Amino acid sequence: MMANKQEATKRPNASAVTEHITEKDYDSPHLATSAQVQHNLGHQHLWTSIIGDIILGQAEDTNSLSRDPHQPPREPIPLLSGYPPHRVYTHPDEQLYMLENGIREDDLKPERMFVVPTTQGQPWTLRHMAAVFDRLPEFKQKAEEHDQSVNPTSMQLGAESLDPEKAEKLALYYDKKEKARLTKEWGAQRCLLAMVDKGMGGDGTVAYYVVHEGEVKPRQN
Amino acid sequence: MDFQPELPIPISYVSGRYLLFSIDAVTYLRREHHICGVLIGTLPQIPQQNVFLGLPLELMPEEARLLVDKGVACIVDEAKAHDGMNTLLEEDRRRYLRDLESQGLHVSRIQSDRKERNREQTLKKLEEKKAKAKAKAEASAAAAQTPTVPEEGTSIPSPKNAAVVDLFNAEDRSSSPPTASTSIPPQSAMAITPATSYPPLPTPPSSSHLSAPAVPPSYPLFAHLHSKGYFLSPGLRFGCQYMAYPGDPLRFHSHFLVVSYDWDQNIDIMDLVAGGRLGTGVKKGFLIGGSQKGIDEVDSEADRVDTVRAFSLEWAGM
Amino acid sequence: MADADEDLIHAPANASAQPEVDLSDETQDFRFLNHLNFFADSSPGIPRRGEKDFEPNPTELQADVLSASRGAMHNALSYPRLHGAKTRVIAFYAPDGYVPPAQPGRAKPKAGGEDGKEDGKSSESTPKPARPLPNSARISPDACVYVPSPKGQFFKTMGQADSSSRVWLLPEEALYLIERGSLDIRWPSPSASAAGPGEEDLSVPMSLQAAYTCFMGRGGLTLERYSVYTGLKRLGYALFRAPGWCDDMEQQDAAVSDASELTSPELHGPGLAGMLGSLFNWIHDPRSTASTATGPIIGTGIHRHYMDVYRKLAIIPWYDPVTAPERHPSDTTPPFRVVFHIYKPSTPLKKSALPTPDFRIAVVSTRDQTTMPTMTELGALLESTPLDPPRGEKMDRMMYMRLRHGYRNVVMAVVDQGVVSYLRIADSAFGKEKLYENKGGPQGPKRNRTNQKPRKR
Repeated sequence: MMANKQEATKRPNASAVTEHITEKDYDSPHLATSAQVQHNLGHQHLWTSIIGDIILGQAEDTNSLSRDPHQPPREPIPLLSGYPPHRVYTHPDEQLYMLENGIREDDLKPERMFVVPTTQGQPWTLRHMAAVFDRLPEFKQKAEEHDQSVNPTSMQLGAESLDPEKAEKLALYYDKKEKARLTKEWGAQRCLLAMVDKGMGGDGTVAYYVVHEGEVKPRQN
Repeated sequence: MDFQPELPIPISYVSGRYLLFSIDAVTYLRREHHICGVLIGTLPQIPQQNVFLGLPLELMPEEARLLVDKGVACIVDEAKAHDGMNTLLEEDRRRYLRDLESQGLHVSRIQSDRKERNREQTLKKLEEKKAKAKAKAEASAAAAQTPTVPEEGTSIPSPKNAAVVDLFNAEDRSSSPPTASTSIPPQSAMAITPATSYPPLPTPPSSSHLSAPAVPPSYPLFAHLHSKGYFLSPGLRFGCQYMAYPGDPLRFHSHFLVVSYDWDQNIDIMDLVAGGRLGTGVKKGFLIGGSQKGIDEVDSEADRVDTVRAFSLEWAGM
Repeated sequence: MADADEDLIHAPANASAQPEVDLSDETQDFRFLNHLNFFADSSPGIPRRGEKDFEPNPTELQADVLSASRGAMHNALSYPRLHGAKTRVIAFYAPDGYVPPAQPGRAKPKAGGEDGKEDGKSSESTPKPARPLPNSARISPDACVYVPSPKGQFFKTMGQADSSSRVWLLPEEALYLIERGSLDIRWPSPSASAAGPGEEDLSVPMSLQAAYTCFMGRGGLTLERYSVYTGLKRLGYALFRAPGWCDDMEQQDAAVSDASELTSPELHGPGLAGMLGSLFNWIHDPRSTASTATGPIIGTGIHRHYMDVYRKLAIIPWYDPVTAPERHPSDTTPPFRVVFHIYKPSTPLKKSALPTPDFRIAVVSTRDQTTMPTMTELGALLESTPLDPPRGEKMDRMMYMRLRHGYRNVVMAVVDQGVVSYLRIADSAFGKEKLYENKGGPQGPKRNRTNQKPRKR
């Protein structure tokens, strides 16, 4: 009995994600959540080129917080972005356009998708939500620069491999998409809200929801 | 049908609630201002069911407030206004009763006309049937049978089920045999329970109008969505504060389950999952939002409406 | 002649035939109502749900359909409330309520036959000669409309007759009847003193609007309570005010005895059995070495059966609704308080001696009560209802049905701006269902699932 004691109390090895989080020694719980979501995106959902960023909190200045609704909240908000293997979201009207013009999802350039990692019990308000969308363009810009620096040619699909008719259609599509971005007819800015189940008895499941800025009609399928 | 009521439309304030009793006001507000309210009354023509309901229409305080702020409606304290019934002049009383009687006569006449027409139609159909049957019978050369008799029996109206029909039938059945005769027996006037009290009451003066209704903190989001063309209805039954429809709920499914938050009010992440899940399950979006300003930071509710931000959630499917 | 209409009518207005989808959930397309010709021969039924679109588009078809729907709605809601000469029932609004007759000596005409039952109370304690007659005693002080010559089915379950056989109606009863077009209520005659037949000609009919104005808020009637009342009346239920109707109620002896008499025998029965049971168990477990305080829960004795082990593992105390104290309605917190007693259409009723209600209902307005009830509030609400343990062959057999039924139950009507949701709340006794004592595994409809055909994908 005594002899077995040593072995009985030995803990199982930490999971890869726990090791990862421990290694990085994050000083904020938000970053730990972020690491967990990043792990999940990369390994469960096979996202690629994942990069992280952060919206800094306004911890020191509590007075101005209540005055200016545009200031970010006290806590920092981490942000992740990457390329999903398949499109996560297509606006219903965009889908209709693609259908009508014979454009398949595979024909399109991959799009970088932004993710906000959150977890149960953490403070979350409309101010947090607004802070994310207000800074999204800036992060998009940064991410594009990053992509350019890593692989300057990745963004240009081999145009020569397409037949001219398809290329024409795609050109029209991108044209329309740019217009739709301005009119918001294919939805406004969007990102994913990742919610980690970490509470009592939480199993580390990550639920992903698409969040749109403003009123965007739901998909019907 | 595209009736234009006189503005502002009086909204009845009764025992702390906001009600409409005039069908013209209800139709007008729905058509022109996308305000639907909830019908809560019994339809006298089919009183034993809950699928189709009738007047009065209950308005949310938000709806009443929006209409008052727009200058489309005003709030009338009906208890006070109905004190006027005690001081009604005998002359007005008589005139009102005369009006009601002539309306009642008119209705009686319409009823008997309709009855008459129905009867004629039925007879006509019967005759056609008879003629057809006759032709058929002759053609088949089996002239001995007369199948018209039982048929006749089944197609004669037997208005026993509907109380309404009974009501209108009482005299007809006893008086005239079912022939094509056009003689209408003299009708006595039907008594009428009017929907509204105006007349005989005079329109309440604007000085007596109550102030704009108090509204819950969710009002800015309500007004914001309304300004974007959505039709809104109470949503607790579906697990939210409001249901938002892209068009008249008579014809369209709702797009959003709506919940309002204050700008710095904590949102439980699990509530977002639950709401998103609930919405996606019924092909609707879960919409959260609220005003960036508190009521103490601005001069009016309208100022808060301008600063509303909203976000829609759907399950990402991953 | 009703070919087209027959397609649209699928359910007769039969209270027992419940449609699969709750049509009242959604805004209905009134066009389908228009297809029902109210002057036609068939009885009006409930039309089927209309197809709706996802979003507006600029097509004319859609605009036309919408306009037709709105027109139909307008027509349906314009339908007048009419009273034919033969079926018309006239009533009078009495703003001051029921006033007992001035002349006490007058012999009571044997009119209120069904109400003629004596309480015994009034005969014992009547030194004052001016007391109202027995059946008048039942007339609520909130009654404010009287029907001089009542006729028709409605008065079987509504109103109370006074000594001159006029039937007095409560505000909700009068409002329900005027709204469905079954009562012609008149304002009091201008010359208030004389109720002579000649003067009544000048009594003006009350409008629906006036009826809401005068009756709503009177004697505790709120719009939410009325919505529940009228919604259930439309479906054929009979409703009566419960002792908890008044929010500011005090402990009333009559109500107490009424509630406890019904339940006390049941309270003792299972309670005693439960006590005997635990005594029995204790006697039969003399060699227990277990202690929840100091030692192993199971102990080192011989366990012949898993049941012994499970029994010992059951160390968490559980709530037994059978032994819960019976509470008076005044212990509850409004709005979590029973305000209506409800009877199914099939329950035989006698107004003067109401049987045990089929349902008890509490009414909650979402604008006045914005939070969920606390456990204390919910507990008090349940304990103010009599014990109603699961009974019958089916309940004995099926555990899940027992759990669902519970030992006490109450219906909560949550009214959100005119939209009513009904929730049944039951006091389930999970502690009483010892799964380890079930020999054949879980029982209930689940068991048969293996026999079912696989569902289509």
